[in-house]
Amino acid sequence: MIKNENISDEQFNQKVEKDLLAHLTVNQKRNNIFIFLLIAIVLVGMFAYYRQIRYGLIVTSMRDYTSWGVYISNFVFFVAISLVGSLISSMLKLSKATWSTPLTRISEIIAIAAIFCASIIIIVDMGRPDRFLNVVIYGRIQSPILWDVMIISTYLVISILLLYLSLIPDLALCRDKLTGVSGVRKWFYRVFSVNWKGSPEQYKILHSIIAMLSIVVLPIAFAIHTVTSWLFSTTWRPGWDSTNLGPYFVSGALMAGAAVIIVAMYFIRNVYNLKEYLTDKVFDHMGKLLVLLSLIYLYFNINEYLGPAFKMVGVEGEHIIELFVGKYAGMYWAVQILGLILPIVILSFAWGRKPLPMLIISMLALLGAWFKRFLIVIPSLQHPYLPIQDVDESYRHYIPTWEEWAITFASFAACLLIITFLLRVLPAIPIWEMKRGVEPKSQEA
Amino acid sequence: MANKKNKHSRRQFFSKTVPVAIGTIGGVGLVAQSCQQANNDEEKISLLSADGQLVEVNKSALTKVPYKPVPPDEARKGIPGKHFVMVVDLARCRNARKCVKSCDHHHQLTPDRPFIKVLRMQDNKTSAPYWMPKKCFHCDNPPCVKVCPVGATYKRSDGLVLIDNERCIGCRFCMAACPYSARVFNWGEPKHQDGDRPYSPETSIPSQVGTVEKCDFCPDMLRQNKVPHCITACPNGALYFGDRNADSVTNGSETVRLSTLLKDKAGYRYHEELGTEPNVYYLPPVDRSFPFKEAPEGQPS
Amino acid sequence: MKTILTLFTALMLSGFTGWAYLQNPEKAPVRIYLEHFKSLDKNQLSVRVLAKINKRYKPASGVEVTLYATEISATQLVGTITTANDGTGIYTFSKEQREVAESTKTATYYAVVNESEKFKAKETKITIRQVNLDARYFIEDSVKQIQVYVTETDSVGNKVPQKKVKIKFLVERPLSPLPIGGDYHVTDKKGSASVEFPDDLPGGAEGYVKLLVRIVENDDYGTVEVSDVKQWGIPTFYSDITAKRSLWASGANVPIPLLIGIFSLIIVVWGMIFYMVYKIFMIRKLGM
Repeated sequence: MIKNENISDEQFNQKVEKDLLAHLTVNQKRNNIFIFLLIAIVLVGMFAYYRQIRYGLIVTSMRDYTSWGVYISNFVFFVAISLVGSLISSMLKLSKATWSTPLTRISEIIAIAAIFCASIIIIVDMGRPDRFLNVVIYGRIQSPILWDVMIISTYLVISILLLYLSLIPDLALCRDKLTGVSGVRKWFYRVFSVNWKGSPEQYKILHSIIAMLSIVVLPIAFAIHTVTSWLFSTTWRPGWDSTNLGPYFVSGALMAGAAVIIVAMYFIRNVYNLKEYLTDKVFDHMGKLLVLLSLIYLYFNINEYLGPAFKMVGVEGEHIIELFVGKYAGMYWAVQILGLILPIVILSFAWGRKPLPMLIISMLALLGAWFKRFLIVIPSLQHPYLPIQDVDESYRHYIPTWEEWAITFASFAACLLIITFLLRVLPAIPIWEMKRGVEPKSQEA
Repeated sequence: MANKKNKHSRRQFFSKTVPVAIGTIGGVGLVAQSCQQANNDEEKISLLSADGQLVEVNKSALTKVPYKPVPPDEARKGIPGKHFVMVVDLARCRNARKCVKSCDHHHQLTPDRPFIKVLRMQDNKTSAPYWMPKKCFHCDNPPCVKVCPVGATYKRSDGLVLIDNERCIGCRFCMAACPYSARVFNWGEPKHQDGDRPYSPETSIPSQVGTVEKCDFCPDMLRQNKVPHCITACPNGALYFGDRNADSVTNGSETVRLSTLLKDKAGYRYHEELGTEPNVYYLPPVDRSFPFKEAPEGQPS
Repeated sequence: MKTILTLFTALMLSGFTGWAYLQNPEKAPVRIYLEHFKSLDKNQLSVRVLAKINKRYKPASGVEVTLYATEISATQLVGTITTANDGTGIYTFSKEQREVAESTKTATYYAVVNESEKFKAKETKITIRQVNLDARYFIEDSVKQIQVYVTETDSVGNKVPQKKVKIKFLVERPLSPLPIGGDYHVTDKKGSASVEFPDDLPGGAEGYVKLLVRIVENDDYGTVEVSDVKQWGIPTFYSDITAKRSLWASGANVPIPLLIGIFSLIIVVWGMIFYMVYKIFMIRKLGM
């Protein structure tokens, strides 16, 4: 990663520390403007939510029939994004890929932000958020919603643990090395670095629990999105009534996760000037990974649509027609071609795996991932078994209102705010894992 | 009554047409204030107690009070020994929509969230269209109840699926799960509501913003041994209601055996293959009482 | 008490009657239907009142109807009733009135609506003749049967069979009684009619069914009913469907495999989480 391989370990480590701690002390004006903008978006969203609380869900475009809208599709999107943490920190780690080490911290931060926003957005979707505690008081564990509540809270805790464990040595470093930071931050670094001294015994424990966690997180991560898919596949709705839905959701989530990490690392690399660590090589690897994950997702996509499209059974057939050539055809093919086929094609070439093309392609993939979830949630609800009759025209269509958009954008802004805030106080790249020869080799296993 | 009869009648309702003192007089029901048998010579009156048993009380112990729908906790218990079913004779429906009107009236509903819909159905291009009144099917394997995270919607021992809108969190999973689109949601503050009435899941009044509602089979009427409002409202006797356990259904004017009716007219349940075990049966639209007429202008279909 | 009741009923009237009155301040003409009902333990008079509102006769609620026997005079007052939402009202005879009624061979009853702010005056009458309805319930060749004799007692005390009287055989069911052996039967020359009881009708846990035999809305006799309870139904036991564990049951009735599955997963995963948190404290301790 760093060109001069001839320098000593000590010199190397000093440089790493200096480079990677730099963004925690630099006061960036650009960053402040960005944060201000995000807060403004969140405030608009909060105003929209105030209107929703006051007048009810009538301010949304949801009605009987289309009873779930962008809130739910956005929820599924955030749950999908949250899988990024386990993708990088668990799957790649377990496969002993060292190139992904600089990405672990970022992915874990994104995972926490996403899962947090997913929890918020699901409360926003509730008709009676004031009764949220009923889920605890009267909870029926037969309901997939309760499974989802349990798995999401578990995953949130595990994600925090995943982030925190690999942070301990870095927090100690911040405690020891950072000067000129506020008292609160000093206190934070001191308390949360849990007396880390870097002794072999401490490393031994740390490595053992990180190894354990990277295994534990995997089934939980798969479960969180599979359970979310069960919210749909436990019903008879066309497009949802599918045994394929679990792996379909998980593969889509992993693809979206890879895309989001590419976007994040592009900006972090440029804003924090970390080109030496987030190298073109890392982009190249991520590009290849995204191709692989897109191919897997493509496979599940074909699997998901071919059967119903071949059979064209009743409402399932109507649903397929609506997606392929009907009201939603434009969105559907845009999502499938720009958000899935195009990434596979472009990223298969070496020139496509340069940072800028990858940024554009990943943005497309992310947009595609968001609209794909819209296409999973909404058209299904518009094809019930019994015909939709005697209703106001507004019941037949679903075009989100400004309140829904405002809340949706606010959730993105909130997600970015959390990420930005965490990156202000935490090193974006795990310093101790980037260093050389700090720990005895025997404890690597 | 002799002792033996008493023993028997504990589990039986009095018939509708026998004008005993069960039920309401102008919304006024009879409730025994005290059941002490002070005077054996005093005139006795047969009453249906809240748990569905017949009791005899002295007439003087009775005062007239309005019928009070049961509170949410009480409403979770079904009427003992019963299993309510509905039969819809599609051959007799001519889209009069009196059932919808009477249901809307008694449940204080606005037209945007009806419990009953009369759908124009046509199974395929060559077959004849027909009108299909559709309510909640009160399934015995109810998808909506399965998915409810808080038990706000529940299945009772008498087959009814009800909603407690004081517990509902408004997640609308039940609406997504119901294959029959039976459920409606209070997207905004409900209008035209008598908010002063104490809430009961058995009347679904008053509605609450942010909660789900649906056809409840009028259990407040059933507790008074009366049929739901839509049954009596139908001018063509297309709707039958009754007790599967007693093998009897009535459309208000004629009472028939459920098994005979379903056997003679090849009754079926909608989308049997979904395995939801509905408690609403349909009789096919053959030998119709009315020719099919498209809905008049102004009435959307 | 009565004033409270009247007041309450007036409140219940809320809707159309008052509205119609405002629309049409003229007094509405009314129709009264009066019927007599007699069973083994009670005599009742039921009325149904319709009022012409906007050119159509509709059930009139809250109408006070005065009932008289023999003639309309204060001494022959039977009682008063107020009609319900559906325009009907039922008056149950007191013990003394019942004794009097039973000892009268032919009775005449009047229902009177006095002129009021809303309604025009109207009266109607019915005449009821005493009839003997004797039912026999028996099992012959394992066929359960009900046979009924309709007779009138003549002046010397002989029972004279009555032919062509419409009879309904019913079995009590929830919500409304179920006719057995067809909609109705007609008595023959001997004043007799009979029906076979179906051998496959469910009848509660012990098979008891209440059998009703009625002369229905007869011009001469009104409605007359006799009844008896027989163990003729199929004993049927229905288990409480909500008592078993299922996916749609209450939170307390979770299927055991689901319960075990979810809780073992929670215990395993959260056990590991707590173990890791414990290890973090170990790291902290090591650094002290």
